[in-house]
Amino acid sequence: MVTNTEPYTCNLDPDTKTRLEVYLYKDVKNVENIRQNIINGSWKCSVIKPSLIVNMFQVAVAANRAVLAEKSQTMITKTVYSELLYNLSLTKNISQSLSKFGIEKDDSILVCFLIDGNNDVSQEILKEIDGEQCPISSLNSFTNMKDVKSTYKLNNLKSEVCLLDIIVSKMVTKSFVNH
Amino acid sequence: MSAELKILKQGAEAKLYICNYLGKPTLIKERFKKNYRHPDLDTSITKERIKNEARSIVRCKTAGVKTPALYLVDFERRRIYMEHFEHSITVKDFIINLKSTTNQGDMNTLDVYADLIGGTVRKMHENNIIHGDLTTSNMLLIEKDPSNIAENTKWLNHSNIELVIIDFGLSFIDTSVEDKGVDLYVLERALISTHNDYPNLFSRIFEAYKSYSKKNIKEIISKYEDVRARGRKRTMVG
Ligand SMILES: Nc1ncnc2c1ncn2[C@@H]1O[C@H](COP(=O)(O)OP(=O)(O)O)[C@@H](O)[C@H]1O
Ligand SMILES: [Mg+2]
Repeated sequence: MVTNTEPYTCNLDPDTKTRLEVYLYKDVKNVENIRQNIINGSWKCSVIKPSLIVNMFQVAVAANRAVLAEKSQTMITKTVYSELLYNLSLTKNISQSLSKFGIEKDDSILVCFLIDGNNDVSQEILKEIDGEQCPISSLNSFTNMKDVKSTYKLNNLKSEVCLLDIIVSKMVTKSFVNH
Repeated sequence: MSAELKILKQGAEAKLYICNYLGKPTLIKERFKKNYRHPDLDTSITKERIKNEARSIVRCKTAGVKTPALYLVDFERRRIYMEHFEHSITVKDFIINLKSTTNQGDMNTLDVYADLIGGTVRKMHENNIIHGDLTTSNMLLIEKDPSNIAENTKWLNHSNIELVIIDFGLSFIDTSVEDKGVDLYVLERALISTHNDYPNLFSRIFEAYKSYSKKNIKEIISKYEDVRARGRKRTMVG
């Protein structure tokens, strides 16, 4: 089914010559199969829960740090795809980060590709997904603000501050600030 | 890919660039290498400064003080990538531009901003954030909702203006009352040297600082007065 389903795209740090592409799906029927393909490393992409994402820029900031860490060989996790998930979370505990932002039984998913030059595997992988692709503009109907606030510790915030700003600022300082 | 960096400013500690990064207007603050330092020492000092700056920026956000959003902290390239407020004016330039008017309404606007500054500094101090370089160049005014008002009047429309605090390069986290007193004294000196045509500005800011919250205020005032007396003595001795 093809509707107005352009992916979110963002050019990452120019030194990495990499582009991020993100697709949103709902009512996915083969989540367990997808999860296996991610775990065994046969799918070169990150699959994340949309419920903890308030804006695609949040994913771009995490992906950017992941590709830079890969380039400078300073990754904390094994692959650039798991590094993206790790960068989304505020904890330094790897398995907690991956289980929090990765998919479990959720039937809505975000599929993130890191495309540099000519290794674009996105179309091969996407055709294996048995679900309905949704426009990126509908992301907010998947966001669970209560979970976002507890994950990013935003419960006592003054209402004026912008959530996205504070989320990305906390993400990029997690290696040296205890949030 | 819009990769080109435009240099905005070269300061004593850092070079500032602007660019589009991850699709957003971004300001890059890059600290230079200091050749008079041993390279390892230089790297570790720079890393500490970058951490301090980023830590205080995030802490301010949690405290409800507006600061630039952080997009990347890069120790290797000695850079902080942050939100660039393209449509902003420093409080310094705002005050300097006021000179051309003597309108009473404009003076009331300055009072509104003085109160805002006082409350904001107090909020930082209540959260133990010591800025370390409180000057009117390190405060920006931005619009809450972007308007089409002409540049020379839009900054007077105070109900639509927010204060942003920047340049946390000398900041640190400390609970001591002394450091808060010094922070206030630094601000007073900066105002005297930059805005001597508004001699009451600091006292207006200080009043707002005091009335924002009563916690520890006596101790802070008394520390500030000690620091000020010592500063006086120093300037008299020369
Ligand atoms: N995030 C920003 N958005 C817009 N302008 C900024 C921003 N950060 C700095 N500036 C401008 O650049 C000047 C210098 O930046 P600052 O961080 O104070 O560095 P320095 O250490 O050189 O004082 C500021 O006075 C302000 O005019
Ligand atoms: Mg400055």
